[in-house]
Amino acid sequence: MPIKIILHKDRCNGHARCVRKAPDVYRLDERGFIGSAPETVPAELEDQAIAGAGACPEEAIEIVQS
Amino acid sequence: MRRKSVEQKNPGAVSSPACPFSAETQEKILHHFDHHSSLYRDHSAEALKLLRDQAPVAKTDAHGGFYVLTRYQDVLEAARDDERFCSFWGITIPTNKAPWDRAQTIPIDLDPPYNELFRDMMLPLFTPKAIDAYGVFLRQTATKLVDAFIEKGEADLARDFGSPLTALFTMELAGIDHAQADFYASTIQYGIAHPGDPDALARMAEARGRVSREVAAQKDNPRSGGLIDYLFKARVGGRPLMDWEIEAIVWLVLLGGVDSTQATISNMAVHLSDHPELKQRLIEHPDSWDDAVEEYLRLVTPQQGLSRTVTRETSLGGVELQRGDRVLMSWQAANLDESVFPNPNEIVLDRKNKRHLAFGIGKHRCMGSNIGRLEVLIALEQLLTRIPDFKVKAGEAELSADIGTVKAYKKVPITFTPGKRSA
Repeated sequence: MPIKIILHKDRCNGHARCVRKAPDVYRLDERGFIGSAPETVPAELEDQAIAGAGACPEEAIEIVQS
Repeated sequence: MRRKSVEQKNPGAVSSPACPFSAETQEKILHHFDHHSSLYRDHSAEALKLLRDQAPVAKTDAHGGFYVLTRYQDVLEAARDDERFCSFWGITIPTNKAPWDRAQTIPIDLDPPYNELFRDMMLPLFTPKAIDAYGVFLRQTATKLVDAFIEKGEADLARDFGSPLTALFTMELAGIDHAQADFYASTIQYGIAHPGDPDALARMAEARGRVSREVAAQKDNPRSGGLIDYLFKARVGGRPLMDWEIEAIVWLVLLGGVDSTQATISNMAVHLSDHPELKQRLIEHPDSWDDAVEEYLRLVTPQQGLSRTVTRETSLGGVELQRGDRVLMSWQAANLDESVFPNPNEIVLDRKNKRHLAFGIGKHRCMGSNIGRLEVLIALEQLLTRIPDFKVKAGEAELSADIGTVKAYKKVPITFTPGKRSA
C-alpha cells in the first residue's frame, strides 16, 4: 500500500536529519528548512522515507498509509 | 496553591537491590540534588533514576534552589515551551547571568522571536552541503593527529586526539588562527568543569576578552570563509549585527565546539574499551557506525542538561511552579528514561526510537548537531580502522571532578599495537 508524506513545515527547525537519512526523498530549501518531498512515495524509496521521518526531532514529517 | 512535589515512596526503606544508595544518600538525592556534586559525578545514572522513579519534578535547595526534571516527557515539555520556560534569565545552574545583563551567548540566551532571527541567519553554515566540506578538514585533521602517536603504542585520547580534533575544527569554523586552539580548548574545558571557581572565571574572562579583540581585529580584515567574516556580512531583522552580537555568537560557537564533542569521543572510547564484543562487532560492521554514534550520543549525553526560568504560575508533571522558579532539564535523565528507551544503559544498535535529547529539542536545539555527529563518526572511524585493539589503561581514565554541565574526561590513557602513519 503506497505511503504519503505530509510536511508540517511550521515545525521544521532546520536540523536536516531527514535529508541525511533519506537524501532521495527529502529536499531542503535554500535556507536549510524542509522544502519538498514527493506526495506519494515510490515503493523503492519507502524505507528511506520512513527513516527520514523518524529522524526528525520536531516530528515535522508525517507518514500516512494512503 | 502550591502542591508539594511527589512524595518519596517508603521514606524509611533501605536500598532495594536495584538502588545502590543508603537511605541517607537517597534523601540527599531526592531533596538536595546537586548535579555538580561528586555524588552525581560517581552515580549520575542511578541518582537520576531514583529521581525519575520517585520525584520526577524534584525540588532541591542546591545552588539557590531549583527543580530538576528527569522524565523524558517533562523535559520535552519544558524544552518546547519557551513561553513558560524562558532562557533569558540564564540557562545553567548556577548562572552568572543577571536578568539585567544582555545576552552573553547568542542565540542560546535569547528567547523567541529573537533567537530565531539569529538562528535563521546562521543556518546556512550548518546545511548538509556545508558540513560535507567540513568533513574533508575533519578527516585530514583526525588522520594527522593519529599519525602523531600511532607509532608509539600509547597515547591519551583526550589530550592527543579528541580535544585537539574538535578544537582545531572549531577554530576553522570560527575563522580564528589554529594556533589559538589549545588556549581556547583548555580554558573553556577548565571553565565548564569548575563553575563559580574564581580562577576559572578569570581565565574564562581572559578568553572572552580575546574574542572581543579577535572580532575587532578582523573588522577590516576578516578571515575569508570563517564565521566572523560571515557575521560581518550578515543581517538580522534587516540590519547588520552589532559587534557585541558577533562576539556573543562566536563565544557560543567556541563554548559549544571545544568541550562536549571531545567529551563524547572520550566516553565512547572508554565504553568501547570496556565492551570488546561491541567494539569487535562495530569493526566488522561499518554500516552500523551511524547507529553507534547515535546511541553513544544518547548514552553519553555530553552536555548533561540546561535550565530555564518559569515565567508565570504553571504546572509541570503535576507540580505547581511559580514565576521565577528555575528548572533543570536533565537531558541525561531523559535519555536514560526506560519508558522511552528500554535497556537505557546499553548501546542498542537497532534501537528504533532515535529521538534522544543529547542535542536538546525545540527552538534552541543544538545547531551544531550534525557537525558533532560527523566529528564523532570520524573519531570512531580512526579508532576502529587504525588502532582497533586500543585499550584504556586499567583504572587510569579520569572523569572531570564536576560533570554537571559537560561529562568530560580529564584523561583517557590508552595502549595499542603500534601502526603506520598514513601515506
